Amino acid sequence: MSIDPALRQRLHQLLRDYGAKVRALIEGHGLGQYGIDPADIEQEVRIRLWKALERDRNAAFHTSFIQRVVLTTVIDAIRAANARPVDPLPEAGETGDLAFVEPTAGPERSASGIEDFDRIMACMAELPERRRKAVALHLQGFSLREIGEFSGTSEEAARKLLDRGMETLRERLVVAGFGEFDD
Amino acid sequence: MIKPGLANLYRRFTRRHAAAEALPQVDALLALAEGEHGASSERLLTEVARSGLHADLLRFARALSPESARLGVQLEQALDASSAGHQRDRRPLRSATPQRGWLRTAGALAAGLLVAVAVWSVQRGHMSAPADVAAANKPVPDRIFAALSERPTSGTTGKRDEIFRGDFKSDRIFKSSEG
Repeated sequence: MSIDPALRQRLHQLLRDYGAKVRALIEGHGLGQYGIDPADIEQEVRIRLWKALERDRNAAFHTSFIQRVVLTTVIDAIRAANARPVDPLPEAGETGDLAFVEPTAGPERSASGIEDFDRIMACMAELPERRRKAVALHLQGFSLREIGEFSGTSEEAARKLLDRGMETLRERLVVAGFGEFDD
Repeated sequence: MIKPGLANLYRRFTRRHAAAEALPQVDALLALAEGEHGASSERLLTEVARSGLHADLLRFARALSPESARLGVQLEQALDASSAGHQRDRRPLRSATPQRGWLRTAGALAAGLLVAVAVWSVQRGHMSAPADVAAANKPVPDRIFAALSERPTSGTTGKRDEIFRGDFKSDRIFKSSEG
């Protein structure tokens, strides 16, 4: 497909702007912690979208197509980062999550340890499935509206599931010796 | 003592083993981000609940949606504006093209007509010349054989040749009876 220079410039500008937004979103959502470089993603997304435009103009118009291009690029980059050799894990006693585990530590330090986290997970596992899922999604930072949307329920139903789930979890955590957590 | 938030701890620990986790399918991620329900999105939701990586990707996919929709609209507008501009550029060409076409057609017809007339003229010249020559050189019947047929048809014609006349008088010199 031949694109005249004015249109080419306009399309490149649009993709540049979009790439910058994608980069900001990657950084804002903390995806950089998974070993990917937001600048690389930005560039790769622009290249893939431009190729798609050259191949078929109509295909690039759909929102889902554009999203798919970006998500595929991000997931491919995370997969590549996971495949790269990683630095060796710190030895026991060095600074790290394991170092925070102390027999006399309070809930903060106890919960920092992997073992304690496993106990928290065990407490959550005792919850009924729908409540457990609502609690977990809440702890991951999703809103009641989002939890309702993902679960196929109303926001109000999600709120009830969450309230009951959190109440039960707190009770279990106290029993398990963790004390109370701010939430 | 500052008590930690449970959510804070949960998010931190559910992101620790991201490298070992199976990555989500893009289609399932998109479906869940758009609130679609199905077996694959249910499975993914379970992963999102226990994996920080999946939760972050889902949140990212949702945040990406309005920006992607905006880009789609902008691309469409840019391409539409470009194609409209091309149509505007082409319009005068289109209006001029039929005129040129007519001129071309008329010219071709005129040229064809001229050629036809020329060919016809040449052919006519070639055809008529032998006819005229033939007509001009039409053989005159031999006079020897035409004598019989050249008898006058009217009674007021001139005298016939004497030598063949029936009332021919013999030579008087050799006429013995005359004396």
